[in-house]
Amino acid sequence: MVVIRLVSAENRRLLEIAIKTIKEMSSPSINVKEATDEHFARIHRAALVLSGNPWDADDLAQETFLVFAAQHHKFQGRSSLYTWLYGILLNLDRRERRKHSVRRNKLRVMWEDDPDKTHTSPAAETAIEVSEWKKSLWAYVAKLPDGQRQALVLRFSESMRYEEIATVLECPLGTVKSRIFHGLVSLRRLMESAGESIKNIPMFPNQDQVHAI
Amino acid sequence: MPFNVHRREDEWRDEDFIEDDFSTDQFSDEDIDESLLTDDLLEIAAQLGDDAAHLQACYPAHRPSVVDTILSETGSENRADARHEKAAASTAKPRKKRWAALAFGFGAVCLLVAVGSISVRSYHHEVASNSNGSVASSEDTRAITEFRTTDLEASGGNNEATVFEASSTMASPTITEIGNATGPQLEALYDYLEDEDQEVRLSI
Repeated sequence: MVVIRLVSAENRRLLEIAIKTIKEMSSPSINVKEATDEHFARIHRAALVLSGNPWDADDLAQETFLVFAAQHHKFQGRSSLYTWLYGILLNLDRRERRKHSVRRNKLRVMWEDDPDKTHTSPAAETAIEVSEWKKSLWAYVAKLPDGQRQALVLRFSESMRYEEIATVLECPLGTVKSRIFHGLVSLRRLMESAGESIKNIPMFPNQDQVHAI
Repeated sequence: MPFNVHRREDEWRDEDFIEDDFSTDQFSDEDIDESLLTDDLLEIAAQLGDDAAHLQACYPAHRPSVVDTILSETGSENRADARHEKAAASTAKPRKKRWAALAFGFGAVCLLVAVGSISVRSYHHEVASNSNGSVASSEDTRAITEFRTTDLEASGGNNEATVFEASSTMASPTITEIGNATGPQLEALYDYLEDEDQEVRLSI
């Protein structure tokens, strides 16, 4: 093997600049507004089943696209744009659940420290889910581990293919299928422990558009 | 008391929450197809989809105005950047092309000098040819391709070791000259490049 010592410091720098320029020229250009118009509804739907109420869903969807607007230049086009957006949404949702869990534990500690005080209403910081969500199976899904919950949302709410789900969750295809299978099994177990069965889940009448919290 | 999903949130207990069961994620890449799902699991899956559709119908997406505001601000920032970039684009594009051309030329130089140095070294080694016409060095493990033999023959060189004396006064060859360089010139080039203090100047 012949080694040619041609690369001086100057030539190496020129080569690095050339490679960086080629990479920048090959990254896809994205129209942020058009992408938002196209994908906002589906991201909002996923946020709704994840959060349980439309206000948190609005916040989640809004924050997803604000992150997208700020960092769209990082999208390299290796996956489709909406799978990238779902990845942002799920990360934001995971963060919110952890914050909410910490807040709820703190509230529980505060209330347990004062057992004499009668609590007639939940604290203002507690999340409020709408009745439609509470009555749906998604209320049970919220109790599952993150991996199973997210796989079920992407599969049965967003109707994504297994390969797309694997891209979003950054896990192998087999893991996606396993999480979906075991998520459904865990759902069934939760329903059985609650005394519910699939046949007892009320079907929503089509004309029912009155929303009660 | 069975778990009731309608229980008030302040009444939830720790055992109401399923902690992350990482063992459920440590599956092999076994394909669990939906054909393995039992009827009740399929019903649950179908119900999940129906519930999601119903929730979306009840609470359709409406983009908050702040999103459009932020996007328009981002867009205006981008437009300002675009104007700035456009002003510099007249010099940026040729500059980018120049870097790309420099990188290409640099690669071409590397290839040509590598070819040249192999040819130069072949004058110093005893070579043996086999019945297929390929050559092999008897002194070191460097692979010498058939091209070298052909090149030697075409240039009238021979396989015997030849000693070249590089002229210290020989000027460094430019890129355009390498293609027509003879063996002694390539030898001189190789010795010239061996000197670590030398810089390779690219002229395109």
